[in-house]
Amino acid sequence: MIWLVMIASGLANFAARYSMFSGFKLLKIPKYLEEYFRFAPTAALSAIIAASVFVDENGLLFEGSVSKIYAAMFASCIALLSRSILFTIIAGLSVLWILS
Amino acid sequence: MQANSREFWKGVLAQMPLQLGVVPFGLVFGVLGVASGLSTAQTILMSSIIFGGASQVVFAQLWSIGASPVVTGGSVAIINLRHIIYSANISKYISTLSLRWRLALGYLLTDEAFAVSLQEFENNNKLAHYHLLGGGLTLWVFWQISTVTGVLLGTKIPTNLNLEFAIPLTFIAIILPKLKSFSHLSAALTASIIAIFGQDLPNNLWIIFAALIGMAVGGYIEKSKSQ
Repeated sequence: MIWLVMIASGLANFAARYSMFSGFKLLKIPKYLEEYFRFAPTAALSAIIAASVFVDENGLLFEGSVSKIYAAMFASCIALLSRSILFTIIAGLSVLWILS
Repeated sequence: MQANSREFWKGVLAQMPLQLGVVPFGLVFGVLGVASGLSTAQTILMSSIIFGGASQVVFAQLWSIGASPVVTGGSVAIINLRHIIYSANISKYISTLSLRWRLALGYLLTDEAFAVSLQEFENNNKLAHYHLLGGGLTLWVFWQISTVTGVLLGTKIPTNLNLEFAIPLTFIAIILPKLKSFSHLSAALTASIIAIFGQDLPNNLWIIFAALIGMAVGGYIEKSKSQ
């Protein structure tokens, strides 16, 4: 099953990338949708960040999340200053390890 | 050196600095893939089959918490909608190329490759597709090597280090510098609030709702600004 989902996801991914190269005249995204699509990564990734920081394994909100919240806050500062994935990960995990 | 191979190597070189971000991301994915219960083969091959950092991490994350196939695939698809925009941006240059070129560049089109080569297309560089091919292949090679390295390291890394927290941290590093406008901030906040309070929805539908409504809010604000 997992292989099937993986291959389907891969094909969907390729379809999105290839879509506008195909030369089909029909495949033109309307201008008004473009405006919305631009926000797809921001919205989807923010949702995952929020859920991983504020929700724990039991699905409880905020409980036991304090160290994760501090870690995310510090990592956010580092992300804005350094714009580096590596430094952001190091910063966040260090705070998490120190606090827990 | 011929002009087209010079352009190819220019693409390779231009992509190099970005590997500083790609390599740790690939390592993280390799470690996390195995930690979230995927097999070694699944983790490594996902890097060629899906070939998209955020999509792969989301896939592994959702699969490990038991999200349904539809939700997992749907979330990956939503995250990848942005590639349609990239594709549209350079289609008028690429749709005249041969099928082989179009298939190859379609497969290799990533955030980083697009970002680095877009300028070449906009400058009407006739050989810009070689630039994109060089950049895209560079990223592909680094992505595969770092995934495999992550998988190899992953089995030796103790599980109590909370390494899975590197996923949201990676996303923080990608998203936060982009939240420069009110519309982006609103999209991010809306999606976050829905994600937190939608946890009780069945089949982890929170991710789909959060993404779609966040997109709608961001797009709506952007439009009303421009009118």
